[in-house]
Parts: sequence; C-alpha cells; structure tokens
Amino acid sequence: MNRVGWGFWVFVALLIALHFLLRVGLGYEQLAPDLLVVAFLLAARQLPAGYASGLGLLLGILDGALVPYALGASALALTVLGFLGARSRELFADDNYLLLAIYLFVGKWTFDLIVFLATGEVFRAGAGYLLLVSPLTALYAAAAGLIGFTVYRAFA
Amino acid sequence: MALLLIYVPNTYREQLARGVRETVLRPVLALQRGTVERQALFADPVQLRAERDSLAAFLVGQAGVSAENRQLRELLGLRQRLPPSFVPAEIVRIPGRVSEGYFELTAGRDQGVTPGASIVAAQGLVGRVREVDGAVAFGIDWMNTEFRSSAMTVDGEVYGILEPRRIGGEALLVLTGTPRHVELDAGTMIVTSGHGGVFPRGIPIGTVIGPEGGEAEWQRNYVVRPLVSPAEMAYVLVLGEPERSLEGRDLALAWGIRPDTAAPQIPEVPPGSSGVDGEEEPAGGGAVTQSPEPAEPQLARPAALPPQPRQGLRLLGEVARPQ
Repeated sequence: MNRVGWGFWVFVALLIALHFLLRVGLGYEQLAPDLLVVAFLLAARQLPAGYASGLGLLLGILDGALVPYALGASALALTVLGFLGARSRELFADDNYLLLAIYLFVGKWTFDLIVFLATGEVFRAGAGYLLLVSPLTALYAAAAGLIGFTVYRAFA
Repeated sequence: MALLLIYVPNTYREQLARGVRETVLRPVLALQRGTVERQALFADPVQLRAERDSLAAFLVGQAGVSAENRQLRELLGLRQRLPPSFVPAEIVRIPGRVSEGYFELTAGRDQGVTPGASIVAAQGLVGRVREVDGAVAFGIDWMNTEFRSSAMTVDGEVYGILEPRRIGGEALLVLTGTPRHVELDAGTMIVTSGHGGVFPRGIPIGTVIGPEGGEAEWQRNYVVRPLVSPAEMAYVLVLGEPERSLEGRDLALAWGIRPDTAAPQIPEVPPGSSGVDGEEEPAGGGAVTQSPEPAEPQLARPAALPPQPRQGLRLLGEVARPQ
C-alpha cells in the first residue's frame, strides 16, 4: 500500500477535485474528461483490493449524489472496478504506458457499462451510447489520464 | 454495500445524496450556481429582447382584459381569482451518468420551490420538481421515462395520458388512451387537463403530429411533438401555491401605469373560503404573480369600483422592430 509517496495521493486528490471543478462547478460537462474514474483507476492499482473497493464505494456515493435516484449505480461500478483495478497490478507495471492507456480505456468503458446495466438505461438508449459514445469518452479519459500521469511522473 | 445502495428505498438514498450535496459537494454546487449566473449574463441579447417584446405585447393585450374581468367578477359577486406564484430558475444539466431527463434547478427550498411543483418555460410545460435542497432542486422533464401527464385537447373534448417515447431517435411524447371514435388532426394543441393534481390545468404541452399506429380496438394513440425542445430548457418558472390574495395588485400596477394609491381595493377573501387556506405562501422575494387560475365562485360583498385615473401608456423598454 505504501509503494507510492504522498505526492501520488495528492495527484489523485487533485484529479478528483478537477473532475468536480470542471464538470460540475464550471459547467463543462462532457467537454471535460471523466477524471474521477481516471483518478480512481490509478489509485486502485496502488491499494489492496478491499481498500480499493472501499474507496470506490465512497467516490461512487460522491459521484452519484449529483444524479437523483442513481446513487447506487456509480457506487457499484466503482466498487467492482476497484477490486479489478487492484488485481491489475499483477498483470502489468506502471512503466508500460501503452498497457496503462488500455487499462484506463477499458476501465472507463466498463464503468459506463456497469452504470448503464445497474440503472436499466441500457434498455432505453444505452446500446447505441455504449457502442458509439462511450468508447469515445473512454478514449478521451484514457488520453487525459495518460497525460496527467506522465506529468506527475515528470515531477515525482 | 454498493448493492444495498441500489435496492434501498429512494427516500433513504436521497437522504444520503442530500447529505453529500450539502456537505462535501456544497462548494462545488455553489461554484456551479455562480457559473450559471455568469453564463446568463452573456445570454444572447437578441433572443432576450425578442422574449421581452413578446411578453410586453402579451401584457398590453391582457391588461385590459384583466381589468374588465375583475370588474365583471365584482359586479357578479364572484371571489377574486387567485393567481399562482412562481419562482424563476435556470436549468443545469447533470453531466454524464445516465442523467437524460434529469436536471438541476438553480432555486430550491430557500426560494420557495416545493417537491412536485410544475416547471414551465415560455413555450409550455417542461416537467416537474422531484427533490428539493436548500438552494437547488432536482427535476425531471418530459423526456424522463417516469414522466406522465394527464392531458386533453384545448377544447376539452379528448382526454388521454401523455408519456415519453423515443421514435426514430427523436424524443417525443405519445398521447395514449384517447377514444377510438374521435380522430385528432395534425397540429391539434394538447394541454394539461389538471386531472390527478400533478399539473395545473391548461399548460400547453405540444401539438399532434399524427397517429402512432398499433392501437388497441378501443383506443387510439397519437404522437405529440412537445412545444419545449430540450435546447430551450434554460430559463424556466417553477409554479408555486396560489397567492392568498391579490392585495390590490394588478397588471397595471406591474406596468407602473397606475399608482398604488389609485388601485382598487379588492374585498378580503373570507377565512376558510380559499382552496389554499392553511397553506403558506412560498418564501423568497422572487415570487411574482402570474397567469390567474380560476377559483370557485363564491358570494362576496359587491364593491363599487372607484374611478380609474387615465394615464398615458409608458413603455418599459425599447420595442424591437421586425427585421
């Protein structure tokens, strides 16, 4: 758990704060990447599975509080992602930027998939969204996460 | 625990969400309100001027009718009409996360917004309020899968239930349960019927495009195009409880063409006679009286109107000329 220094956790906290600042506070909505999921996916790799799931639950509640009646969906998605993300560090190291980008892309797409399934939205407009829009937002989030992580590495 | 959150009743889930919004996310939401207000400052002035001019033209047409109506009601001994109050607010879309049909309002309990209140725009019905916090509220619009409205044609001949549908990728409404022996023409205006008490009667909703097809033997369904498109859901009014009394105010006063002292004193509504007795007016100074809703006839003291001083009309602003 202590493989990374406090600087990493400040970086994660900064991403989460930026997420709410850009998407909600300044009203950029979808123009801003989903930094909450990116931050969480990066953090989950540094935590034991249980802690990562717990962090996912808390961040999910924070995220879901903004959407009435969808509180549990984000929490469930991030809890599952936390467990899987913690396991992913056995598959590849942080130094491999290509795999890290794929990890962020798949993680964000999986997040959307779980949220859509949990809310039943997939049966309405979800199929098209999941196949067309969601991959693009996942790509955007992965690119933003990779840039952010590179910058962090440069200063760490 | 995450699974538990999904299956826990909405009431508890909302209490948790409200707690988070009023603590951890409070600064973010405060910043959001500021952003929305700043964006409103840069709103298209041409559109704003057009809306203001439309409103001015409407008021000019209605002011005389309103005065005549009041005089006639008093001559007939009918009680004054009780106009509803409303709270102006702006709609903020919730980013991402399966939020279609949900939105945030920049006014809440502090401004007088109540759960279940109707939300209208200049063109017609938008939706209704679901949850109310201190300074913000959350609502659903007609695109939300939970939206239902009892509706009728303007002439009150045909009734049905409106529900949202996505037809060919376009979000529309469908008027269901109309009698099979009556056919509605394209372009027929559909308004709220007031049945069920969810929405007040007479709010415009949309116009009929045509039959949906696949009707049952005893009913027809019609596709309705809503008057308020999602792009137009920006500045809205949240309807509140009816005002308890006009307290001598009228449209002429609102226009500044009749001094307060010359306003006719309308007889007080006797206690217990109003349908809203015992209910408080919404708090907040932003509440303004608007289009009157007819109240039940009741005998009141006939009062002779004092002579009205005639004054020249004073325009509130520059009227935009057609291009």
